Amino acid sequence: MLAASELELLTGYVDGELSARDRRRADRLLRSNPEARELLARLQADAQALRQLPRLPIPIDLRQRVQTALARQQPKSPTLRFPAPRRRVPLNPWISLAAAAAMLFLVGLVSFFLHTPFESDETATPHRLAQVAPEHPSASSVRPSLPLARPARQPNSIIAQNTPQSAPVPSQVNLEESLDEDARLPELLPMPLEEVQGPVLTSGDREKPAALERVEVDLPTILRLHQLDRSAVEQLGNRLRQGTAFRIELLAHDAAGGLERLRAALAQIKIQPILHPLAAARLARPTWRTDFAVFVENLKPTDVIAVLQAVGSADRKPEPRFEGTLLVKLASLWDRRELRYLIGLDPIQVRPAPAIPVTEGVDIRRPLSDITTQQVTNALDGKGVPRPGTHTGNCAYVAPLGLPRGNPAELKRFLDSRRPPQPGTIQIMLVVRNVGS
Amino acid sequence: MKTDDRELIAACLKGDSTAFGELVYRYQDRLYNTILRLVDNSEDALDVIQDAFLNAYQSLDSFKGDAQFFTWLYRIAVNTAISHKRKKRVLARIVDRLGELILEPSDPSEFSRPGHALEQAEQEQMLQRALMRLSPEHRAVLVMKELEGQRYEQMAEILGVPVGTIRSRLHRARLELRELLEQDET
Repeated sequence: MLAASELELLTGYVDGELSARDRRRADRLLRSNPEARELLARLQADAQALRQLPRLPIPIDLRQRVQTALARQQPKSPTLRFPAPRRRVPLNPWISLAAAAAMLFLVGLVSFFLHTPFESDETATPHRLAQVAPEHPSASSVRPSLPLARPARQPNSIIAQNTPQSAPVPSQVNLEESLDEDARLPELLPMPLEEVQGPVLTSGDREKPAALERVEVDLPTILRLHQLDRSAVEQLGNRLRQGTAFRIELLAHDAAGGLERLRAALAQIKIQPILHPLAAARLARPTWRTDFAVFVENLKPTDVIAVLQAVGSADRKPEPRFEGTLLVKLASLWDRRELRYLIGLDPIQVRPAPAIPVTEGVDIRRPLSDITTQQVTNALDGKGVPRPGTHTGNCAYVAPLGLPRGNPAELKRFLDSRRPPQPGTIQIMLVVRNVGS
Repeated sequence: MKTDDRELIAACLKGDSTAFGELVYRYQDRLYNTILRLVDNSEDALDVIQDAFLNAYQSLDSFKGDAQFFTWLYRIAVNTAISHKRKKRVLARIVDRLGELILEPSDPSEFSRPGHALEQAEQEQMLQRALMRLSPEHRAVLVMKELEGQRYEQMAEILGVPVGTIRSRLHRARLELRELLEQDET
């Protein structure tokens, strides 16, 4: 067992930053201690592996994004593509002094208003600002005995009370910090400043509230795999009718074992997923923790429910492979990107075109072309496309998550076996993810 | 500092729109490779780099020119990445449960990597995963040391900590990484 100081010597050795004296000590240690030699070799191999991590080109040119972001910071200057950088103008000491005096005066004025008894009953006049005051970091520093908000006819105090200017010790007021707090204020206000009645203390555009952006977030439906009772099934069914492509996460103690159960359940509805060779290899060595993605399409919501119910019932004790949490959400752009990585194309966007219907006037007595003849022969022999009538209209592909996908023959087989979208069916990306035991 | 960097900065300070774009173009690739190893995925890396450029732009006048522009920019970017990572760590567990925290493929735009051995790629993934499990501070020093070849003093200056702190962080980071890789191997 190596001592802490010896370990430090070894890591310093790998860093290449030992002093001459320490270097000699390290050399002596390495000559005398095989454990030290072995650890050093491993640490050096790790360092080498880090250095050999591939250098990747940036996927997009950031110039446009940076330009847009900078332009957004100065919405009032549409003609200026890049706003001028902020310049720090050194303040004349007299100006600083005058500003400090003005601030002192302002603080005094505000304190006066705050401590003057007010005629109206403040508790009887609920004010929106009062409701959010505790959220403001500075509000918590205000003594509880002070009124947190005033009626609208004293709007000056509204701003003052929510900013550090109301701090009781004027000598502690920091001009820069106060301005920074001011800049954050609009985000904390429950309504735009324009709606506040009467005069408002402002110093220009900084107090203008930032434009709010509406963001739609699809929260996942969380269910228990082992408890898919009638209400859960109803909830799941409703969820699956809200779109055409979903991501379903199944958290597992043992993802490889869980995947086997999932495959068995899919087999019950005649789906035999095609396995990426690495997925097959990982299933053969379940001790290597691997997360798997299973992509299935042309499934009816009822089929999905049936599969999940089958998995849930097969996974009951004594040996549950799944942790039990089941998350269902609409497939996001991120999911599609991940699918594109796994499959090589976005299967939600790119789907096989429906077969062109046979038009009238085709002479069925006309001999088939050589290519068509070969295709028909292959199909009848069970090669390539399935035999007519044997294809169930859906297929599945299993790939390990986050590992290099390559371009194996199995992937091609899956892509060839894809079928055009069927009405009323959905696409599912099932993820069996290890979460530890 | 390259003369043309200085000229570009001077042009930026005069409000020249294309000059800063040129600086972004010049350094975005180099920053990307480091930041990608500090955050979890490409999207976050791009966000961090964008933020770094915006911060750099806003503070351009405070850039003294006594260091290389890239070093200055690199300092901003690495510190942005570390604070970004610290913030994300709080959410990581929840997000992980939602299945969103997935290791980004190393190059999603590329469909296949002909000639690249599967095992090697797998090892890279394993290394990247282990790297991601280190604390942001430990990961940063390892990446700066091994990917950028920075010395203790440079790292100390960039991260604003004493040299001794860098040495001990690197020491712990190397041992922790070794332990994580051994866990994965077994």
